[in-house]
Amino acid sequence: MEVDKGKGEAEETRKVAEADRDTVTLKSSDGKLFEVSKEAAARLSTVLAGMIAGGSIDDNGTDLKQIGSEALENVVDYCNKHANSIPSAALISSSISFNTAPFKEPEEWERKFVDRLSHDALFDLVEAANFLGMERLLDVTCHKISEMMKGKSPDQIREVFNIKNDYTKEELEEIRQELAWAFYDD
Amino acid sequence: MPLRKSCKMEGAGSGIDTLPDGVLQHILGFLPARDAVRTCVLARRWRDLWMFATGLRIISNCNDEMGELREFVDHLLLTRGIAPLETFELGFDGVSADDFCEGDVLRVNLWFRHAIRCQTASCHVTIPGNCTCILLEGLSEAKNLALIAESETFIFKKDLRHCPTFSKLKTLLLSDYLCVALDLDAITCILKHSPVLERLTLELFRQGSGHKMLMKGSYSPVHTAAAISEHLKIVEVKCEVVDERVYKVLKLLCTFNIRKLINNAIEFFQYL
Repeated sequence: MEVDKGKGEAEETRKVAEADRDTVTLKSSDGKLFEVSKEAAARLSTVLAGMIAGGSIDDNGTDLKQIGSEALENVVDYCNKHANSIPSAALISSSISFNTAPFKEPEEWERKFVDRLSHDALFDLVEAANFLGMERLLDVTCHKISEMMKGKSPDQIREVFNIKNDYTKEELEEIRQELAWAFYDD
Repeated sequence: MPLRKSCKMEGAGSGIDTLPDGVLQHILGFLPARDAVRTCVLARRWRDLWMFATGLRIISNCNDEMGELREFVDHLLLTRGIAPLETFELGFDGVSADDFCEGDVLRVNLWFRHAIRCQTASCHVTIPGNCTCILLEGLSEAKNLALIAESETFIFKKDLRHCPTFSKLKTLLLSDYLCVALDLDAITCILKHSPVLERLTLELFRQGSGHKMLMKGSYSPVHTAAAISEHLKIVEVKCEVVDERVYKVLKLLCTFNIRKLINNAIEFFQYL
């Protein structure tokens, strides 16, 4: 039980301690806790940066109800790897200081990072990156998915991603005629 | 706030269908334009997604006829309208310079104007070898520009005689991977025609090798040298080694009063 007297003080101490910590604790939808460097989190995620700046980070684990533990683990893993890797100039110029430059190809480690993921894990990570405002991670994961589509026929794409074709035959024919300029060599 | 619009399909199962439209549009933005358009036949949900793809990458293959490419792009731009674009990429690697006629130059300029009307943040152009066409005109309204030279002669040689004024250009990246295309006149001319430029980056290293050095400088305007933008705050030169060519570029920059090109190769990786 907390004694009223000194509560404010304790609160104050807790806040200071929190500000001094160099990691933040994140809590997935299924209650698992992950620690990530505060600097990396603030740099890579606009949402976490806002929460850190706004003081809405909870020492006992900031609730991220939209993100499952597997995706959050990948997010944290990405942040840590990002913090450890020596970023190439390409990365710096694309996402941090020169955000007007065209998208730069993923780094070797980023490629490996997304290549090892299952389809479902990749989709969950895309959503987490989108939710947390992690532009570079969103780019890298979306780029990976685009590579899985590139050069494939519609049938092949449907198969890879398990997409159900809900068009009627007539509708399909109509679209193909409308967009004949994109299907001219079929 | 999520980065991409989240209008998620209710009750969707798992897999790619669970992603919000905004994310799918971002994915399509990485595909070559033709692949992106063709996703319209996948399923009803995909029908119009390509029109709102965040990037438009028109990349010609070796076996593409210029005529086909023209028709494709004209249709593409008319159909997609002016939905906002983040990236516009135009690559003519596969087109031989002989096929590239005077009319194409005008056309490409129109395409660029269209892209700029879509509030494109970044334009990226790759030009075929031996092609000395005028592309700069269409780019003159751009705010941010990346010009990448991957072939032996660059657009500038001929263009520069008619160099337009880049009246809105704030950031400019010039990459010269083969180290032969950009010459001093080109850099001079562009600098002189960019009155509000704030940031200039020159990449002078071979493709794939990456750069080992980064030199940063700044411009200190004095009344005698009002030839270039007084807003220029950041100048960066990236290279592998300081060879004769890089040295010449540095000397040129000095004549514009761009100084303090400090070589801090060791500790330059500081995030802003």
